[in-house]
Amino acid sequence: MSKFFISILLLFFGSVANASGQNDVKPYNLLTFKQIEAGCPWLQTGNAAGLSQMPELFPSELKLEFGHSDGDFHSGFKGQSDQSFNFSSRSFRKINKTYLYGSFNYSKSYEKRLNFSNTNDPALNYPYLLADTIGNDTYDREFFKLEGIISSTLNANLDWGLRFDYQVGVASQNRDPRPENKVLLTNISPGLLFKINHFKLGANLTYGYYNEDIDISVVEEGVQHTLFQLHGPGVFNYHASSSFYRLYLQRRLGGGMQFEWRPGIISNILHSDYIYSVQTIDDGRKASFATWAAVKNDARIDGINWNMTDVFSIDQGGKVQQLKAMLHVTNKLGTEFIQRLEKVGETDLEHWITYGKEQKYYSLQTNAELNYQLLVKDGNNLMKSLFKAGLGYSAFDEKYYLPNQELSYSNLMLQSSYLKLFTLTQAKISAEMKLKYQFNLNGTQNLRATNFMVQKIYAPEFNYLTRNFISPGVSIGCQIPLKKAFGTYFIKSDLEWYHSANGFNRTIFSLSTGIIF
Amino acid sequence: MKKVLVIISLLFLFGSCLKEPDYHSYQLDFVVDFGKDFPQEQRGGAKVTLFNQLKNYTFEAETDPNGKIQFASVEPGFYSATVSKSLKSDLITYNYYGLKNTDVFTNVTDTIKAKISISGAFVIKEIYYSGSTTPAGKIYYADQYLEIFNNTSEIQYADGISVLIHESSNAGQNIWANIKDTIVAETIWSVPGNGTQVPVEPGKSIVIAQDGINHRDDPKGNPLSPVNLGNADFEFYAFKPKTTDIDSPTVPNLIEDYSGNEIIKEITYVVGGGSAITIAKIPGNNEEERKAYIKRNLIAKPSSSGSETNFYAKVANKYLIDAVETVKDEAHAIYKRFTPELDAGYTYVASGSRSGKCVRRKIKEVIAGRVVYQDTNNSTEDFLKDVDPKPKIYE
Repeated sequence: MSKFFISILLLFFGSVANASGQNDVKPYNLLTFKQIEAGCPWLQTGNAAGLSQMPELFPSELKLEFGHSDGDFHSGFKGQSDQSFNFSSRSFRKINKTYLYGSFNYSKSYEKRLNFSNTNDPALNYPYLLADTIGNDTYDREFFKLEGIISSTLNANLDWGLRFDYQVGVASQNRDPRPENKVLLTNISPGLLFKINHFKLGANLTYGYYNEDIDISVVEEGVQHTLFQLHGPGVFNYHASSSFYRLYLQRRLGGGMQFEWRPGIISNILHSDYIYSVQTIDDGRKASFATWAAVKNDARIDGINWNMTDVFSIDQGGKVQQLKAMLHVTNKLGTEFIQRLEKVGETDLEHWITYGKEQKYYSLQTNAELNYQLLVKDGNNLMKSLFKAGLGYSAFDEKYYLPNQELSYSNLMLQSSYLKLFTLTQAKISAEMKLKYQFNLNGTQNLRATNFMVQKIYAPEFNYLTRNFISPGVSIGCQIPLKKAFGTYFIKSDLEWYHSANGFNRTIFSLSTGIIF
Repeated sequence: MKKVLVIISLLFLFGSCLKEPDYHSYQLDFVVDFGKDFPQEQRGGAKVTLFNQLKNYTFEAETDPNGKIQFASVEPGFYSATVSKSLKSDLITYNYYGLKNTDVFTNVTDTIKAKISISGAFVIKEIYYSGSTTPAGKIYYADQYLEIFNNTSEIQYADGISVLIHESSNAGQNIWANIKDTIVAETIWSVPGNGTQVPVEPGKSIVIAQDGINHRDDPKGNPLSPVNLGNADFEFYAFKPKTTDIDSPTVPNLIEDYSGNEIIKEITYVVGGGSAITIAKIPGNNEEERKAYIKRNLIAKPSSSGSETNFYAKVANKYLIDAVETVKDEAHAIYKRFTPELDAGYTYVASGSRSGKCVRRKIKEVIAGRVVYQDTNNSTEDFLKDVDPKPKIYE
């Protein structure tokens, strides 16, 4: 039993500890993880019990990665360049009838030439963002992430599973006003899988928690900065202060169901997830010149995240063809708190008194995709090529009521990629070509206000989101077998280039190296 | 089995979106009451500004011929409505102002009283209250000052002009608001003189310093201070046994007529903003007569602990020459103390305490080289925020 728990712990660090039943030959290559992901739709369902449906491949990986992206084609809430250094490990294991997956990631990154953002992940908190007007900032981030999945058998017809992930980190800026964001993200999801004849039925629950605590300080003595609390397109409050405090807190609860029919070489799996989230945003100030005596409730977001996917597969042994249709809906309803600072009680302390709560913001994001993939395997049952082609449709509509503001757009994206593994004496070379093309179907922007925030943030962001672009990419990898302790050494490089219709460009480059065993 | 499959299929398709916001909007109907003597035909065209105090945006509109105005589709919140109207009669311009704070959580029908406002010969040109920071990082506010400007084309005499600070410091409700046509002052200091000893030329000013020294060079000053007040006209100096207040030998002192705070006797403006400042001509031809008036008009206020009672001075609005409401920030504008006929708006240093910035009145016009400052009795409109202090510089 102790060996079992030690193995679980070591999984996160890509342990070389072998489980019984596995032989010492490690034929895995740098496509094996991709093969597991592409070849097992159950791993994409979110049901941890589905881990037991993975192919009999149990690779481990230790990897160092350097990433760099630069260019003027980017979101207004993101910096112009981003440099990251990652150390990661991941491993699949099987101990008796128990399947295990663990991963660990350490990331250090620098997002440079950033304007108008004081939140770590603007997409997570949109539309209730925090911005200042001092540009050319750098976000220095340091994050750790642990992820684990365990799945085992209860009886011949029933599997159980548990998935969790835990991410914690700090993001900070180095110039006044300088936010320090302490971020915690965690999810836990238990699941069950019932098997009978050609049918499999799965169900899982998900609970998630997100907390971002932002402490903004001004180091320069006697100086205050204006901080903008964005509420929606063109709508904001602002305050001048030498310190500011903001807390984002989100709880998510939901679940999913999966249904698979596999009579022979064909199979179909239909799965759906539904998650309801509640996020609150609170503000405050501190320090000796505080004028807010208590934390103020700024807003609340109620959100729905609904996903439905159907994957149809034909497994002919050496070839696996897959057709995947996906619909994903994200829906947000924003409520603002109308509060006034008043003295209450006999102590002369000031508190924010709530006079009303008004629903003001609504957004609906719809993504639909249709993808085809052809996976070809060699005689060792390892992937040697992967072809993908897909069509994606995305639509976004957001409204802010009184003063009435509205944004909406829809885009269509075509993407295709082809990955091939070649043998060159002892070494193996992987090469991948990618192409993405997005074109805008429509876009309307009805912003009555022409204030600073509209000019600097919302109008450029709308242009970015609705711009046609083309993105070719190439990826080259090389792996060399190692003789003794570890299986394979690899080095891999990825390059993607984005070019938008208005002449903006972005280059994304990464170089990774490590071992797979 | 079929039933199970049907149930499963329905569960897969389960998914509903949130309904669109259930938001509220209201209608505001105001009638501007200009008073019974105001000509009926002039009631139209008064500018009414509705300001959302939470989100810092405004609507502007004009009254109809009956003095009525309607704002439709107003979101819930806290608003202030200000009215301004100028009425010309022969060569004289009469300015009418009104202010109404309104909480909008239902349809509102209300009346805004507009009162005539008379511009005085002296106006407050500049208030520097934010203070500065020393090289050691400490706060420094001995460089605060107030500048009083002769806004007329004739020589005016500043003898007997008093500087008053309102008792309420903008941290909470003004408890004296129900005393009609009167303010309650915590401190009153006056310019010495018999009536002709402190002449102020047209387009010129007097500077009243907290400490009349060159704050940038003086060893007791602060090299990071933005001002040299060694040439100030007067200073506040409060003698106390253990005083730390500097008595500049070159700058004459104001007369302390009254202080409701025996510990902090001298006038000190709140560095974070919030002092409501006014200049007045209190009845009396000399110090004794002024003090006698003040003594007759004291009003009691128990201390917050209830263990003692402090006294403050009531001064009728009719004796006030100019008033400027400074507040801490927008959130504290709800604690405004001066009534619309004194100051229909408010101002503040948005950069905050220690910023070395001040508020300064806007220039209305320049007549033959003489600057005339804007004085509509609405400091929101009349003052520039966050400007560098420039005592005795008129630009």
